[in-house]
Amino acid sequence: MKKSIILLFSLSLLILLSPATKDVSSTSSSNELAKNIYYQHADPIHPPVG
Amino acid sequence: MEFGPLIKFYRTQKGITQKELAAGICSIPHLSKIENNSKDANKETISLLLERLEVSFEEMEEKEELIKSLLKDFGEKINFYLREEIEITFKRLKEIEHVIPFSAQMYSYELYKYRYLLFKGLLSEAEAQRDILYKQKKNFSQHERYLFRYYNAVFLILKGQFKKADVIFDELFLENNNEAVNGEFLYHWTFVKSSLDQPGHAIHFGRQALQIFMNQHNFYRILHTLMVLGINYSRSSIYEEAQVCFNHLIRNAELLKEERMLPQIYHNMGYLQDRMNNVKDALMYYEKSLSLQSIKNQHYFVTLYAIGEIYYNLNIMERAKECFLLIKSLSKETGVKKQSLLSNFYLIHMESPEKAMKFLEAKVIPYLESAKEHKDDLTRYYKLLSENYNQNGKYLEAVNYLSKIT
Repeated sequence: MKKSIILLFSLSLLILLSPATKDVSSTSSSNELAKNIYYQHADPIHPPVG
Repeated sequence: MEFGPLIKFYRTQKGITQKELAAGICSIPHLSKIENNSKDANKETISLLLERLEVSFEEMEEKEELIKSLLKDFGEKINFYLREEIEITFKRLKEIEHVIPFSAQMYSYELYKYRYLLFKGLLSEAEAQRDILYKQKKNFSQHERYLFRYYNAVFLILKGQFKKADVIFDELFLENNNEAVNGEFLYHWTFVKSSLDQPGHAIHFGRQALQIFMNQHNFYRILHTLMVLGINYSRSSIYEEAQVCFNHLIRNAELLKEERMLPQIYHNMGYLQDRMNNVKDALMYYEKSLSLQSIKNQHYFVTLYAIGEIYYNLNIMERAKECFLLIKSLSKETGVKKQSLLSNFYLIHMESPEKAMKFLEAKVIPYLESAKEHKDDLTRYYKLLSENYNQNGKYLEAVNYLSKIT
């Protein structure tokens, strides 16, 4: 019950916050999206466990 | 030394019957009881029996002392991360391995052997040794039980099961009344916290480990601890401290001629510069690291991937593509999964972002979910997919991925 309320709330928030018009096939926005989220993803290298 | 079983061992080895051995020394039933450890014999009888077997009582007692001191030495070599010297000690122990089962150090020796296999990264042998020890654990002393659990935690680290290892470290720490046990213990716990992406904890334990290693002049472990600290200062945006760690590391690794660590240090310096948005410096350090690495080394992929990602973000797509394609082709031989999947994702993304999202859902997410140790990566990809679905008006799918973020 609690989970479904949270889901409904998140869903309504998403709809409200979504832009009114959008180009669904926009490659550049998808690229930007990937970059923003992916940036600084590379891993460090740990020393030996030994 | 357990003389009864020792006498039995040498008697059978020499093909002598109990009657022959006991003649003129003691009765056969008496010898039988001695051999089965059910009766304590006096020193004189033991000496006479050993003498007939051409084994010296004094020599055996000396061997007991030798085993004890070699094991102590063995433990120190591991703690000081002395890779070459440990082989010499291990060889000496191997030479007297046949008498160790009759020594009071029997379980300690088997435990140290387990630790040695872990130290060498020989996981399948270590696993077999762990199973042997598991059957004997009810006979362990309190300290031996502690060592067994601690080494099991090290085994889990090497298997990449950091959460399970963390639970053991936590229990051992609590049982020890929250006392800092030793440098090694703290270093390994730091390693676990760092791998679980808990930089605050990693810094906390890492600093304690560093202090202990500095007091011991334990140079290799100082370098290792500085490296984990540098990584976690970078993650916590404590850049000055991170820079101090890495500069110190570069100076000392060069001084100690620790060439194996240099590419790792350069990589992590690149990682720091990357986080500080010093892209040019990051690239320079990553390139420097890559030039020192062998192509079949797993770290090679981590560094190459980092370079590819930087080029991608700089919109230098041709160079990025080169890196990702190289990872893709090399990973077929080496079986490196994570960097290979992510490189594939980027390559697909360059052609079609929509296809890349499908690839993310079908390949990347299931892999990370099955590995169970990539929580932060998963969060990032759940967000990415959720945003993507949101942009495409598929709100239910978007919410589904959002709800997976805990």
